[in-house]
Amino acid sequence: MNDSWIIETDALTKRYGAVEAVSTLDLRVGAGRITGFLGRNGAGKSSTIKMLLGMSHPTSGTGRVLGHRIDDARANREARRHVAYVAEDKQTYAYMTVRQMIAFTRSFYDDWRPDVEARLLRQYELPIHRKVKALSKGMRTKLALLLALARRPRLLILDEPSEGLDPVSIEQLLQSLVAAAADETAVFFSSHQIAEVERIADHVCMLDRGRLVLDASLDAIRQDFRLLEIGFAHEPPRVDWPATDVGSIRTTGRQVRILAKCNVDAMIERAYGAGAVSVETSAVSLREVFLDQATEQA
Amino acid sequence: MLWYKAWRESRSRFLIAVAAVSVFSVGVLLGARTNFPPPQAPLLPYSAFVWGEFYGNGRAVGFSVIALLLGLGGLQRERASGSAPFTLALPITRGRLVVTRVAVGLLQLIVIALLPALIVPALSPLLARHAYPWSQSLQYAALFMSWGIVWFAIAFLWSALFRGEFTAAVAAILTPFGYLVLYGASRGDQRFPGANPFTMMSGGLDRHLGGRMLLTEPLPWTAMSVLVVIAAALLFGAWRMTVRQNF
Repeated sequence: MNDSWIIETDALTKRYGAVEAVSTLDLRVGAGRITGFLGRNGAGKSSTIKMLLGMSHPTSGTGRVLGHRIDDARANREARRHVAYVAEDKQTYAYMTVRQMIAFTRSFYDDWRPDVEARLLRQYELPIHRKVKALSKGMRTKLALLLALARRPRLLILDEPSEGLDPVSIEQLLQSLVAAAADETAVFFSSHQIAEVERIADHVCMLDRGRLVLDASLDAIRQDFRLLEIGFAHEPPRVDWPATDVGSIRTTGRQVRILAKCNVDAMIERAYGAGAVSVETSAVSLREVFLDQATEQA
Repeated sequence: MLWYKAWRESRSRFLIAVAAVSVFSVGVLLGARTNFPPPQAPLLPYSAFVWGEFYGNGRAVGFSVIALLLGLGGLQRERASGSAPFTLALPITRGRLVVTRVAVGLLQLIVIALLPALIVPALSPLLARHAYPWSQSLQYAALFMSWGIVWFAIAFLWSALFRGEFTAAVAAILTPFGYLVLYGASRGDQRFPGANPFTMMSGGLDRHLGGRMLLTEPLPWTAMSVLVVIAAALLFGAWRMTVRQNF
């Protein structure tokens, strides 16, 4: 285990009966950056987050958050002192008012920032005397975000944070996350909104069926990832593409479509060496990488 | 603030129970001003009237229901309402959550057990124009609490076990019935008369109907201690279950 990682898991596995929600996951999340956690529904993102926060117990494997073991209740509690979390449901206590929820949450943390609380209250236009159960879904989401963002945690974990928010609020949220990262908070957030991830994330981890299928920086994806469309005169021959360089391979007739992660020139050379008649390369967006990985696994 | 949370979660049930017990107690004493002694039993001692109204089997059942309702709630209930992830992300152990809920619930139960114990001797001279000994009231409060904590612990355990919103409540309410069926089937009333919850809570005086219905023997401390141990074991089981659960 390395101290420079904010989140670190080794062969982390979670089974629910016969279903393996998370499978031998080796995840590394670095300090001071924004990491997007991508995956389709049921890919294992929420299960991973719940294990990181001690809400569910790993079936096997281990992990650390801020250097604290996730499978040790007391150590995990120590980690949670410095972690702010927004759950997928964004539910808080229906019977409390907004003001009571803020006072309740504030009492557990030393890193609360009253100035940020006041600013977010104004920005989100939250009715402080209204009970949580009387808030709209969007307002409940804003309250959950306020309770997390009004602190200065070392790690901010958000599970689908923008779900239920209007475009203006999403913009405010993204700006808040960038500001938090600039304030030395590591941000780890799951989302289905690729455009959001692409806009603010420095790094992307992608899960599919509980397995890590992509772990790369956005810069690497933009600079190194390429889509190769390779044409052959006849049925494409079998080529041993280097596994570490290839994201996915799909063959349609005489066309082979490869998502290359790196060493594109060497792969083009190898393609021509295998008898390709044409090779076209194009840059790929995160959305294309996501769709490619997701459909490849499906 | 965990205390505040536990209080807010159970506040409605507690305040409704307090209001019901208080209104009932004062109402009975006010009624006694004109209706005591009843025409059909002009020689009925006031202590027997109080026993029938406050500490008889029916009232013991009522207190048991209150204890069961106060034991409901917790993380499984929060899971159903969606707030469990928020609670579990707080920098506190699950053990502390359980301990706080138990402490608040038991304090509420003690308050409810003490209500008639305070109202009856304090207000009887004023409202019913009769006196009732404090010592009797406090002993009945202790007897009610002895099984009350067991009912509370049973509901607490079911709440830790069942996810469904109403499953724990139904299981909790059915448990005393199940126990009494087993008790009756095993002829417990002959072999272990002290194990009948409602008889014990009523001071075992239902066999002396027609008398003054005052507790004259020492409280069954051994049986009460056993009940405390049983309740502690049930609460420990709930704690273990909560600590090990996946949310």
